[in-house]
Amino acid sequence: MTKLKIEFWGQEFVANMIIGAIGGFLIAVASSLGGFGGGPFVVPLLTVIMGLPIYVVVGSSLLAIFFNTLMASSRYFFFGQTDLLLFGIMAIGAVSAGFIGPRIAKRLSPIWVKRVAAVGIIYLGLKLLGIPWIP
Amino acid sequence: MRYKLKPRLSFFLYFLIFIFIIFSGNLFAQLQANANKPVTETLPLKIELQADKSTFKGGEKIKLTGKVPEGYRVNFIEITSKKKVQVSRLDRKDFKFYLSKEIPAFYQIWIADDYVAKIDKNGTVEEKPVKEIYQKYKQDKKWRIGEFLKESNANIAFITPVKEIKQINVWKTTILRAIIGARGIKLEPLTDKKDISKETARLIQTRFKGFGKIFVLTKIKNNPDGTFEAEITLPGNAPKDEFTVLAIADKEVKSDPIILTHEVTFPKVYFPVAGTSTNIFGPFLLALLICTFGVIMGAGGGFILNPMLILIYGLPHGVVAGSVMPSVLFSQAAGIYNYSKIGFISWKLGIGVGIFMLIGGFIGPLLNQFVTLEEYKFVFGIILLILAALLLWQTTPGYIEKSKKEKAILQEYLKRAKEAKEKKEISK
Repeated sequence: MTKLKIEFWGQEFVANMIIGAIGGFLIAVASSLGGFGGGPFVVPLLTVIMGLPIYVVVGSSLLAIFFNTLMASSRYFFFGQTDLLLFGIMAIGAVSAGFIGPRIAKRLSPIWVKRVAAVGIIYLGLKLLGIPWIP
Repeated sequence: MRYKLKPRLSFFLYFLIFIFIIFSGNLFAQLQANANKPVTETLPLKIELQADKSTFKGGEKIKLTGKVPEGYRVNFIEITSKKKVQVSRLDRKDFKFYLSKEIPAFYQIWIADDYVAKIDKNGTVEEKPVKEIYQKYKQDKKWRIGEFLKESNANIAFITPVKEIKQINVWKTTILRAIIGARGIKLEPLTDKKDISKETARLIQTRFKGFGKIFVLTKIKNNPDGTFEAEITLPGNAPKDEFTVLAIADKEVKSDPIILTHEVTFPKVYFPVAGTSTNIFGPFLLALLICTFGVIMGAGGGFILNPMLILIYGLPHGVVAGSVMPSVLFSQAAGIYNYSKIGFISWKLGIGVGIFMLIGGFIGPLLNQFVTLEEYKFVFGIILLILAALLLWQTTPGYIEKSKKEKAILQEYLKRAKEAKEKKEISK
């Protein structure tokens, strides 16, 4: 029951659904509380912790996250917390980024992009935590 | 000829009657006004209040002038926007959840800096300059609006929001209920004027947070001849349209409200749920830049976008989460469609994990309402540090080596999937 058999392109994998359920649930709570997608956490959960190969995970994790985004978005909407104008602007920005991003990505080293991103995210995180010596 | 005169005559008669009715109506009204006159004289003393303009732009100085009845001086100026927003708050003491949709999107009380608050404490009157009280509260991070209103006497100027609020809903909640994703048991809405006043003040503090954002010390020039002058400025991010301004001397003596209109012109726009006006290109460029960066590093944009919107624009965390979250629905749906076309989704795995993420997504937004901005920032900060650690780990040589192999396999599979699909289409 706890082991889920997955067939993917003629290969068979076994997924531990206890880890998948608890991990997915916790990530979904955190990401819908914060209001971001859970991609960077769900993919490591399925690959590193559950041991599934990346080619099984890329599409399936997107589907799993979609459930979370759809539910959380509708909850926020019915709570009256969705500013449709802000949403519209963010959506246009996000969709355009989907076209621009891949074009720029080819010219950049993904490792360095990740390192720069990590530095920026650490800075932002410390600022949010209210560390006093952060400008 | 005579025949033709008759209808004219009757028309003339009707016209006379018509005029008479109007006239008598006027007469009646005048009589009534006369009858009302003695009453207005016994009404409490009023402050006359004028502004040098009826419409203004953010940051523009507005000069208020007027006349105060003898023996009084203007101590407070209350500014309330007519635009309202929804604000909610969880009281941690008794686990009651309060929500109102009628909290002004902008609210300030300007206090004369030379005002001395007189507080009657069981018969003994205590005098304290408001400047001192103000400084004390400004430095206190855990300030409470109710205490300040009482101590500084500013509660006599806390008028309009209480008057305009019709309903504050209340839920009694428990941690267990919150875990199930329910606000709790709905109680009767607040009806008692005192309760509404107290809770309205708390909701206003919840919305504006900063002490200096609600209360402003200013110079109000009270001349010996009873006239007064004051200058107010409202920030550019104030909501659009009408504001109510009141000048207050004490509990009984105040002005009638005057209306000022904030002109917001494109590219500045008013965000109705967030309750702020901002140049529309600001958030757009921010979203475009951060999401592009997010696509490149493969982590989406929300992680960076949400804190930036909160730190730069001071938007409420509930509105930020509620507006950014649905904006990725399109790209996610498009991604799922593209992968499914080439059979690259394990529906069993996706739905299996997805159901639990669905439950999580049911609870998260509710917790968002229950946490304060400080707690939200704290949780978000920790999530960001974990994310940074994950990203750095992905740049270590061991991981790169492993992912290179996996990526090669992934590319191989993608190629095969595409080919298989093409073959299918050809055979069709």
